[in-house]
Amino acid sequence: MEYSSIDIFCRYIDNFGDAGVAYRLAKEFKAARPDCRVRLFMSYMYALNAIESGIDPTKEIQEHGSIVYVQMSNTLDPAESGLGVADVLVEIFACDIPQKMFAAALDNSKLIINLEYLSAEEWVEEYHLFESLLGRGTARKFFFMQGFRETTGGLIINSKLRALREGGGLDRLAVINGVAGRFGAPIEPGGAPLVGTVFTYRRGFDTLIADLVGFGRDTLLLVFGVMSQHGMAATLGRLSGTGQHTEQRPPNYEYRYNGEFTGQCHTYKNVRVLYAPFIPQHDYDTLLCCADFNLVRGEDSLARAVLSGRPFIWQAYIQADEHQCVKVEALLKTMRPYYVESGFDGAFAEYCALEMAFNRADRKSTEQVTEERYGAFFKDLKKHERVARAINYFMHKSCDLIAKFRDFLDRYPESAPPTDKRANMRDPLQLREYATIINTKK
Amino acid sequence: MKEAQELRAGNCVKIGNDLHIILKYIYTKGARGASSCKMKMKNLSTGGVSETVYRASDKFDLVVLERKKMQYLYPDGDMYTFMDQENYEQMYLNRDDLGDAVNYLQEQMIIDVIVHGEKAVGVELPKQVDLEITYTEPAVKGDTGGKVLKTAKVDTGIEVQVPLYCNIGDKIKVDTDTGEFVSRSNT
Repeated sequence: MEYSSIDIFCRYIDNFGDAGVAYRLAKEFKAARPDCRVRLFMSYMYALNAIESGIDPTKEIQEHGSIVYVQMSNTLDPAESGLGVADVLVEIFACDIPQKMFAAALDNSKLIINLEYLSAEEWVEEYHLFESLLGRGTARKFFFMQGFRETTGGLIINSKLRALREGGGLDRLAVINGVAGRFGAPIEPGGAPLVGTVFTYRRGFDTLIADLVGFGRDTLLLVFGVMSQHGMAATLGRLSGTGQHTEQRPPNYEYRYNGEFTGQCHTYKNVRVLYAPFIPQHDYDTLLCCADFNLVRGEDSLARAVLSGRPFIWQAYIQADEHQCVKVEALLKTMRPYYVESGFDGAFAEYCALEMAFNRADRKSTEQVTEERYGAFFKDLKKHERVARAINYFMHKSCDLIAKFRDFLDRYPESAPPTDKRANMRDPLQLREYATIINTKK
Repeated sequence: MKEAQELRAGNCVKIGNDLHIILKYIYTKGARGASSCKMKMKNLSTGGVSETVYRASDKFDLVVLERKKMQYLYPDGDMYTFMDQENYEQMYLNRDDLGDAVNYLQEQMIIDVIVHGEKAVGVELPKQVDLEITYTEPAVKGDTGGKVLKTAKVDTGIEVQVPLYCNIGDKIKVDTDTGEFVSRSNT
């Protein structure tokens, strides 16, 4: 299909995951197709500004890095504003495209794509590239599912970082000290401390710190985001017995991306904790690659942790009825063959126990003492590293979202499977069977 | 207008100028409360069957087609025979037209058959049906919580996940939208 323009639409919900995916899709697509006009319509420009400081949140429309950023409103009219519509429209996570833009796209655009949330669940494969029949206009609409398997849409890979890593240009010490050094907590060239990053939802870290103390290695923890920082402060307050860092009302959202603790550094036995400032997307990706382990949250950070090739612990977005556990179980099921193939069944069992405990809903409060144990995770860190590298290799080789997305567009309509010739829909009983097995194991 | 998440198998929706009957419906909970619905639909104008995906919040014009109370008689290969309860005329549906409903049909069952023009185009199942367990592992005494499940085969041939306390011969209520166990049946 011939196309020369793409419009990406994103509505800010909370935190930075949605904006991050939209931003990286725009950036990576532009890098892959420099001749194509890329515009990003965003409902809350401050979220983009947090990710890329070069974007002015007060401007209605601006160009930055060859991408056009547009403040999106519900009443945006493509004719009145003179913006028109692109050949391809992408709605990030089923966000509603402004009504007049959508109406204009029906007859003037070629494709509308709904880029969906990342999940490791099996149904993702069976939704990927399925069509939503619109029944009007000439444009067609498809679902594009992010995922961890070859038959999904894959993950957005940071191409600049990939080139840097392939060229051997990643200097671990420089990257870590690029953050830690700014606040008086650098790691020394000769030393070999364990370095971890922490970016989670609201929760406590008592057992994390206790198990790092038990592990005995000098450790530097870089803690990002207001929610994690409040949780860590509460934990340190409890462990030190002073309670001085305890926060009575921890925040629900990252409404500020640099909280009052940012820049502070505290030491508890062999663990140094630095409350790190919010850093640009590329810098965070790079840091993940250089850390010994990463605690991440949500779908966007999960994708980036997987692509770092380093061991990680994932906190899924907390949902009603502990539905996040279904997402975590699916991820673990995806990772299992890598562990089994390496003969690390024992390490995997411990990892599963940690992940599930980490994701139970009652971990929402920073005031609660945590119960999950990390000892086995740190003891088996080398094994987790090996698996993480294998997964990372596979993802880069077979799950490059931009390559898959371009392929779909370039070969369209041949790339769109005919709706009446698809394989049978998966029997939902099969999906429940897996859920039952997992429930029984609990 | 109905949202995609409110639809179910047997509903008829208008997309463009065409009527589509939903043969199979799967609701999937996504991340952060965002959900999707996968539907297998038959275009009543062209006869073409499509497998499609929609956001749970996508809106549809629901069209109410005529329904006739009919008795399900028997299968004959891929064809399923139903009899009108008023005039005793027979109508036929093939397996594709029935979608998931085929998993819940029991002979002599009275069911709503959806009619378009003179032709049967689908069925609408009750929200729950009573099925009999024909095989499962023995019941576990004392387990009344129902949280841990086991597989049970029922008289229509499908497998349902049931609580450990269920036994062979038990009648159970099954949700026809999800295929999930609801409760033991009193009847």
